[in-house]
Amino acid sequence: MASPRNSRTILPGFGLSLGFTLTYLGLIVLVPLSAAFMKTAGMSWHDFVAAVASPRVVAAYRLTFGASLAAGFVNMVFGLVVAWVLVRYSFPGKRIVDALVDLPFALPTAVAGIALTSLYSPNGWVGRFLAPLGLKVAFTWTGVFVALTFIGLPFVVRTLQPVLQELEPEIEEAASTLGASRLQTVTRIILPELAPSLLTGFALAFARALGEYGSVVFISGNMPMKTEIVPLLIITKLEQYDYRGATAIAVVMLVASFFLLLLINLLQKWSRRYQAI
Amino acid sequence: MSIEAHGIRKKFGTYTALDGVDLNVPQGKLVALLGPSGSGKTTLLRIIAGLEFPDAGSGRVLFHGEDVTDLPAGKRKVGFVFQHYALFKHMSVFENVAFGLRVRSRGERPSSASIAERVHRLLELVQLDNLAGRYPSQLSGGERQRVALARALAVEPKVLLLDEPFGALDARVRKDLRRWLRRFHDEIQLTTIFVTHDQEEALEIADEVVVMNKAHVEQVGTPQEVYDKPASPFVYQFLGNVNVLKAPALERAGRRGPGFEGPDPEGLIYVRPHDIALSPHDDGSTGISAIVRHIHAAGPQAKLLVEQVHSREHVEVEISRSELTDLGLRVNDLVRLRLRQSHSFDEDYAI
Repeated sequence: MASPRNSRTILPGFGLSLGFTLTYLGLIVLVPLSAAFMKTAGMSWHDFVAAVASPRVVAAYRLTFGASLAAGFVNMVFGLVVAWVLVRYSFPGKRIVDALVDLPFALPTAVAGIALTSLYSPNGWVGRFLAPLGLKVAFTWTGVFVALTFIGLPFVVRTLQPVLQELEPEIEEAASTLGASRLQTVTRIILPELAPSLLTGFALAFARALGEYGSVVFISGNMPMKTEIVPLLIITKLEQYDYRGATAIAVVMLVASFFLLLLINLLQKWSRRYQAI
Repeated sequence: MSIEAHGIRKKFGTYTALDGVDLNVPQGKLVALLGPSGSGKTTLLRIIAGLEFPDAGSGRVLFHGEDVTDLPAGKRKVGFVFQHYALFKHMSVFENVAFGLRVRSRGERPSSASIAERVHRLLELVQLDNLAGRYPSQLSGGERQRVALARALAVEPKVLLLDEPFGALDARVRKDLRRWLRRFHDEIQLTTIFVTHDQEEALEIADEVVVMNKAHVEQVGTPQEVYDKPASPFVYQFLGNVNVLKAPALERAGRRGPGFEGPDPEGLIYVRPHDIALSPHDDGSTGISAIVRHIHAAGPQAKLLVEQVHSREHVEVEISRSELTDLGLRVNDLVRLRLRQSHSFDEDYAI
């Protein structure tokens, strides 16, 4: 590309919009995040390690990242099915189902948490049938996973819907005239074409789950070492006026999330390698 | 392999796409299904391919005398080329062409060396061997269409079906590609049906043209036959320009040129612009009097719009440019028209 000075463009306003974007992102995203880093920088290395690597905190990382990844995967699979049904078929009540998908977006997360807890607790509507089978959902790892799955679903569905709409039925027909079975068409044609948006949906659901607080704290029971998630741990530290400890954990979460999302973005870029620039 | 279709009916809801259509394509021919949009031509092609099925109990599709009506597309051994190519975007050109071979069951699948050899041979055939590693998004429209063709040919189909193969291309590429298709067909001798709404395309490259309109076949014949002896007013109008003149107006004008064959004085007369002769309007001349209203001489032929003196009907006339110079015509000059060749149908016939 030629330098901006000697090339006239028919899209004016590059300088203005870039300036705005950087200022806006700086104020809204960068300043609060760097405040966390600065706060942490005031700690000695020893204190920092003690704050972020204590067994209780490590257990919380494990729970948060594990359950978020699992919820992201489950949403990727079932979100694809939901999006597929909503795009490909028409049935009575389709609009209502379509609107239902957005509910986890709109519902206050505390409401979702309380609702899920009362459903899955041992004497709740669902929990009462699971309890005799020896399945405990509320106040366990599974409960955290259920809550994170609930809040992540719309991200995958809404990411995939427009892409599925754009997917021409002709490519499936082409595959079938070439002798491909339905299974081969799905695995070799449809899924690879959807891969970039599946990854986007997964990344969004996963990122949302990492930071989720409201819906989880009710259903998890918040037992240290067992069902305590990182955001809750941060709140706990804040309540004990341990501001530095709280920000230290936050920084670790930030850096870890950043690298995970970067990895997903790279994967996504690789899955789009066939697209001309 | 010959293709036959008998009594094919197809309805989409209340819309009738095909109403008892018969088709017979002899082995090795290049046949055009020609018609306006909504005439059912693409539906017929898709039924032959097995991508669509005729309404229950309505008709049969036979390949080489063998009933394939209930076979799905993958089992019919047809090569199908879609209007918008339908290439697999995430696969390279090579992989697109190889797809049909790679999905075969293990026993029938060629070794990967022989797949590679066959793909390269096909890409050479469509003159794209140097682009094997590219992705479809890096190709031009004409190149994509040829990749689609190579992909369809990779499974060694017995029949090649093309749905508006040049519809999405620009005029220049279209012309090149359709001539290339004709030569290509002469080389490989595969029974081929292609759908088009472009009469020029159909007349230029097809061995046989099937003209369709409103879920029916209007006429089947060689390009020469359908152009020179249209079976219906629709075919007349669809294949090239035509003037539709009211016969009574010509009667009143009193002088009909030779070649006029319409016995019905109330009927309409169909005459192509280039089948009208112009002569100077002097005392000895015969023919219909008309006034030149517009002359359009930029092109291989001069196109004139003339108005009949008696009926005020407008008529389009095409003459060579040298003829125009000889006649020395200008706008508002009087001329005589003679119809060298014309045709009339019963007026009740719905167009």
